[in-house]
Amino acid sequence: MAKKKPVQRTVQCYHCENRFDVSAKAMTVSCPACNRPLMVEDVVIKTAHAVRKLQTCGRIVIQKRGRVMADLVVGQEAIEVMGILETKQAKAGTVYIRPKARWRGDCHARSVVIEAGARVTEGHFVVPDTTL
Amino acid sequence: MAEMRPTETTVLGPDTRFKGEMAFDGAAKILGRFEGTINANGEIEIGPTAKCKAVIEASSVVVDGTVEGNVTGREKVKLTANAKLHGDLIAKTLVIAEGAAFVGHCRVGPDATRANGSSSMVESKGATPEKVGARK
Ligand SMILES: [Zn+2]
Repeated sequence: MAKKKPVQRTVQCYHCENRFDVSAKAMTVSCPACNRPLMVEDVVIKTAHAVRKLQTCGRIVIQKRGRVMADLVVGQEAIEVMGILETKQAKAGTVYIRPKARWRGDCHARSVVIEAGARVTEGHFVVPDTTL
Repeated sequence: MAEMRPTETTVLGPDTRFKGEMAFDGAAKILGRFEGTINANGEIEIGPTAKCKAVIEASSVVVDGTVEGNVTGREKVKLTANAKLHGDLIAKTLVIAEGAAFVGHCRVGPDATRANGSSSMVESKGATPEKVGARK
């Protein structure tokens, strides 16, 4: 019997923007074009995180009690904020700012969804960002 | 007798071109071309056929067309999926639908409209040159 082909998904490198397929279960890979390490799994933030960069080819979900303070936040697929995001710049496929979320920082995205009740303290938005 | 508040909506049709300053006590719908300033106590709707180069301030603003200029919604601003806004946005409540285009500074929340005019956003005067994403 033929072996089942593992489920794949297409990701985009956040360094060189090369698109390639990875196993759906992969957490980190090296980009075949630029050879740099990439995080491809979804990141769920439930508490406070202060980092310089938070980058993934997947989604970044900041839950209600989650708070991210970072210079750069990249969720190549999406960034969904239900808690607090404070950054110099965020880049994503789609940005979702949910009703009780707080956002501070510049936003470059292919599309953005802001729901009633969300707070945006400050930020320069470029939507759609054609460089993404 | 209690004072009657106007409930009619003023409509600027798709064939209209207007340049100047407009003020409404009630609601207004812009479907044509507008250049200037709009002030309204009620709701301003920028229709799908509208092209505005305007500074808009109203209780509520719905953008379903194209606006180049700063928009302030004392209560609410809504950008539909068809909206194209190039300018700064200040609102107490903001709703942006997926597909809307928006380039400019943004401040949203109960304090956002109160602080209007006292922050660094004033210096930005509409959209600033697009920054290139950090790639290291
Ligand atoms: Zn790469």
